[in-house]
Amino acid sequence: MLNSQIKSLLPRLHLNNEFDRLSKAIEQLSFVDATDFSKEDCLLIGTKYLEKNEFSFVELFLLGYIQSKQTTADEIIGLISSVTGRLPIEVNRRLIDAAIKRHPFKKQIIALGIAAQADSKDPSRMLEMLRKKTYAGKLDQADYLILIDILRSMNITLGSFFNSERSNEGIRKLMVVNAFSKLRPIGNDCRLGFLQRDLGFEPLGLFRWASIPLENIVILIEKNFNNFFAYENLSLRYTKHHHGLEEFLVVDNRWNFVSHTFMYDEDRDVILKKAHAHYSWLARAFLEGLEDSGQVYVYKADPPKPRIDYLRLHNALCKFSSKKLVVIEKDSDQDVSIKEELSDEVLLIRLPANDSYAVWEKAIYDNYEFIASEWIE
Amino acid sequence: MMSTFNRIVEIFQFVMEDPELSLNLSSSPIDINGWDSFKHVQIVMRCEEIFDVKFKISEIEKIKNISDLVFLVDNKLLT
Repeated sequence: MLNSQIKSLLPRLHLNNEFDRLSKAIEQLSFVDATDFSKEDCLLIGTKYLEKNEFSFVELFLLGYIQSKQTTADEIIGLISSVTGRLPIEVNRRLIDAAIKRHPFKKQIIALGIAAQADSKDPSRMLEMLRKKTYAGKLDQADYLILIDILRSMNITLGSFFNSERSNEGIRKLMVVNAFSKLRPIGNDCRLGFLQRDLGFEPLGLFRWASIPLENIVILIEKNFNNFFAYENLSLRYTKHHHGLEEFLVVDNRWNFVSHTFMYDEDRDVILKKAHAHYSWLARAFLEGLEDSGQVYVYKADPPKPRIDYLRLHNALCKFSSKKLVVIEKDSDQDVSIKEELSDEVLLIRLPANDSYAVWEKAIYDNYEFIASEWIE
Repeated sequence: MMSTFNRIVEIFQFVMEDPELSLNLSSSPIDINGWDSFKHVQIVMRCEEIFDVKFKISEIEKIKNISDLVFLVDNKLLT
């Protein structure tokens, strides 16, 4: 049973000073039983100890959280996914073992367990182990996403499998999902945004749900988005989608920027204010993001533009550091994808008119070396 | 002084317009009705204002639950 000092500190545990006093009280005990603490307290204390890298106490309290009957499987998955990369391997394995005992049929937990237990860092083997654990022998998106997160945290690259004898359908799927996660849409329609959503990715991006003339993107980047989303230039446009959903689109009339708001029943002034704040912040973040390297921007040109315009766009994107640009054009005169390298960092892919997921997937896989070069060993 | 977690709970209650909203460290967009990309940006903007920090898109894309956000804010406050 908890002593009175610990009991008195628990309600104020969120305060940092109180945690210091509590941890001293805990560490003076000869035996600590996490089941004496509530689920919420176990999680909070375990997380606090994690900040201090005191892993024996992290393990004690997070085990208490995992073993609590009040903790759901999704809460356990959320916890393990967020702490896996911050824990020593052995502690991580023991936590996952406990999670599997609590939820032996939850596939996401099993996937985490396989990765933690795998004696080889072979993603092909991990996939096979995971597939054998599934009821129908078939993996879903959640499994691939979990494995990709795990592979990244373990610094395992997939490039060595590209076009190799070791490649198989599972590895190919992992590579495609991995590559899709790297892509950053910059217009000119929402196709890629929806494909990413279907795969479980929700990257935040200024242009993800927007259309804007290519030349205006170039000017905006060159002018640091000056006068972008000025309130006096904004308006709303009501639209009805083919499947019946009605929605407000927000328009920056100065830049001919049109974007979804995914809002349909709020006051117009409220939507405009929210959209103004939202897109102003995204513009700042987009500009700052240009300082980072590694992203691969995708511009979908419909109709196609002169090649020089794509190179101008790439030049603007490279304002602070080098970037890669994939330009997608649709070509109704062909039934297979055609690629053309406009420079070392600009790739033009012409897709057939029917740009289904399968067509995108093949185009992305065929150009994996360009898109995900940092994962090539 | 309130902990980072408690201040973030208040931010969520404000942005989601639900003063009774209850969160824990593993709460995620799956558990919290209405935590979409628009709200996500609003939450991030409010965090920047309240904690006087700045986030990058690459940082906030990694936020999958409340624990990640608390961790990110605490790291920003330390540097």
